[in-house]
Amino acid sequence: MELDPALLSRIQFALTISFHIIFPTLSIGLACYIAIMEGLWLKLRQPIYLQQAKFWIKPFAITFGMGVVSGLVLSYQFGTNFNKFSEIASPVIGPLLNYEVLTAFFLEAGFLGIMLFGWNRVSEKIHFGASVIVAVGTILSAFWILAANSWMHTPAGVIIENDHILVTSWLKVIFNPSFPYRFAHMLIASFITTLVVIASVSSYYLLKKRHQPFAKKSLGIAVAGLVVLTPVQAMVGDLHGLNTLEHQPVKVAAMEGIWETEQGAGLRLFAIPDQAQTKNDFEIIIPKLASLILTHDINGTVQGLNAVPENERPPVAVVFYSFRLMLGIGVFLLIMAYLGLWLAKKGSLFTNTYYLKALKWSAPLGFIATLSGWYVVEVGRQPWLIQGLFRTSDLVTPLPAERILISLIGFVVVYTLLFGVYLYFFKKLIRQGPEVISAENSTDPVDSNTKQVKPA
Amino acid sequence: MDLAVVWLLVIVFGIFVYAILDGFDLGIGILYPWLNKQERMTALHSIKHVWDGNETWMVFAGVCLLVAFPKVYSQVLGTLYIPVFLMLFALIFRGVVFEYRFKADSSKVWWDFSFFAGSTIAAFSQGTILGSVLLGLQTNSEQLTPLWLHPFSLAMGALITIAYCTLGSLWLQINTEPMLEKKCNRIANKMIGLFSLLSLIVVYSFFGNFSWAETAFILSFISYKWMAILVVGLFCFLTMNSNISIHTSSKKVFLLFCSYLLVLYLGLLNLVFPYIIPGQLTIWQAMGNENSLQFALVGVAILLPVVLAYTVYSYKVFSGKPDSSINAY
Repeated sequence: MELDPALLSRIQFALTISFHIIFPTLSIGLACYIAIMEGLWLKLRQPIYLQQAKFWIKPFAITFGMGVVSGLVLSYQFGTNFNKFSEIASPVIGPLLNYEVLTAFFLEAGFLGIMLFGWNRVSEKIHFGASVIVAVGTILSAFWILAANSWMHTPAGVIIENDHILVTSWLKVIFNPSFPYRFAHMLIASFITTLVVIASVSSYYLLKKRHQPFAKKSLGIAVAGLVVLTPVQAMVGDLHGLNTLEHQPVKVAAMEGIWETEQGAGLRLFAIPDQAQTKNDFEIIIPKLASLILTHDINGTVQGLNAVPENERPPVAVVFYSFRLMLGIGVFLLIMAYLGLWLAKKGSLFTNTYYLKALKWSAPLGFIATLSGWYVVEVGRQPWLIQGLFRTSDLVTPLPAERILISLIGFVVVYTLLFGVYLYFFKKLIRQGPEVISAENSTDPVDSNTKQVKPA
Repeated sequence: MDLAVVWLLVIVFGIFVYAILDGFDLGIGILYPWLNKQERMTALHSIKHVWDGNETWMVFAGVCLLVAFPKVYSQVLGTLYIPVFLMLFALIFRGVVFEYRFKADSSKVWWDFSFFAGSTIAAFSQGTILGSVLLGLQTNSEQLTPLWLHPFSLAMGALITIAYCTLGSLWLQINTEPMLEKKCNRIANKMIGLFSLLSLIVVYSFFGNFSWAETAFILSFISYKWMAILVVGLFCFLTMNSNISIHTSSKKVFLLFCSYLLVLYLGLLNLVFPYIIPGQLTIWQAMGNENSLQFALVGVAILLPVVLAYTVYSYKVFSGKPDSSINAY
């Protein structure tokens, strides 16, 4: 079989970026959680908050470390596998990544040491400052990377002169039309994913009857957070969808599995898209609902995939199924959050074993939803690398297929191994549980005598 | 001032800071086989809080290259696909060691090996990449051995590995207890000797060996002859200094060695300038879009000093001999 170097490069990029994104998703959320817990501890002086911060710092550290090493690969992969992209898009992508390094990577790296190892070397306030800075760093990193990524979907602020991109407005480049939605959607996704992980770990402790005060606190926080964030995420997702409809209608058609332009388009709950025949083989449709959701008009027109030539349609099935997976998980988490609220009102949040078991097994859901969301977005943009301007197939490095195959196999082996190791150590840290922090066992021996600790 | 020159300086600075900082922490990995169990722990503790920041300089230099000289970025990475990925894989394997080694029970041996192999392969690959670039990235289809396996590239690989090893032993000498300090001093002395010898060979092999050198020579400020004399002079100075270093300040030797590296590095640049890929692309031919270069430069000018300031601060927080009572966080 003849191997296609372009396809191999895309598979490799998809693999490496999918692996990478797992870690920032969790570390953004955990960094914020830790900073908030540390802040609450400084304010309220209840040891349970310090216990939260100190416990979650450990999983955070290994997650962050994995993010660093897997991100390093990405920063060079534009050049190795998509070198025409790096040449053509460098006027836009280059400076954005440069700002990311300067405002985020250095910031995180500079203060991470203090956050992880500085407990006895700096004052409580400086330590808290370091934790806040690391959290801000993770968010800034997401800001720049999503600005660059969004620009590839909705390029703005540039003109094209003989196949070269010239920037006319940096504000328009950074705050391109889809950026605010994408940024908000991703940040909330990472908060939700993190809260689900925290809820899952807390449920595990409660089921095992270990570290109960600790677990009750974090489960309470997680459920409260999810109650607020899951509906917000649904709204942001809806707005993001509307924005996509405006700028990338073909992607929306693929998400909805709509081939022919329809008025009053129905929502396909399930279908088997057939790319060759340009139709769906099996459909369960709720009439008019897609138009209502997308155009906020029951008889609104939704453009179908057939409106564009065959070579401008994305692989429909991937987009279609990923979208349903993301949505399904979103709905499930929303229900879980409100179920939790209802149980809390009844006073059985910490004792309902069915609910706790369901939560315990929910840990991977946020990640799966985030990844599927990215597949919707990125696969949905194909065949374009920069929407409407440059095709993916024209921007790959002309490499011999075997060379990419070797590195691809390398990545599969190394990442499988690393992910196993990561999960092993993550579980190990969870099994160890939080350390006991009493009033005497304070972080700062100097002022431990003057500390007033209220009972938790 | 010329935008291309300014950006070249930024990249030159970034690469040098990277080589020194990640140099010493990669060097500690290369040194690993010489250290015993206790010493390995001490060594790892002396860099656990800085390695991440150190490695960030490589990302910085890479991204600056993407901004300023996209043609170089894409040519170098596309052509040197294999050594680049070799380096990245190696850096992955050693990077995760910092997180997992402290928490490991039965798997310590594997992490130790991973740290040693990862550091060494990463350093060596970086050298071969540098060597290949200096060769002008010229590949022809008749060539059976890839460019990065050319003897000159391999010599550069060895040179960089030894340089990092030297930096690592000097760093440990500054940041550890007396027992290990002596051992590191012995290693450092040997390494400095080895490095100086090898650097002479590498500089010598420059003489007229490469076709691009003649054209570049005209624009060079210092000729090869002076370069060689400078290197030899510094070499003697350094070897003398390192031998008495156990009685004097090891920080001084560290700084001296850094300045030796700087002279070599600037010497190389001086020979290559104004080429960025020797014989193929000058910095002006490779330069990216002016508007983008200016926009990014504003960020560099404002933020780089801030970055340097807090980097120094975070080093200061952990300065002094390591506190071995704190094992983890």
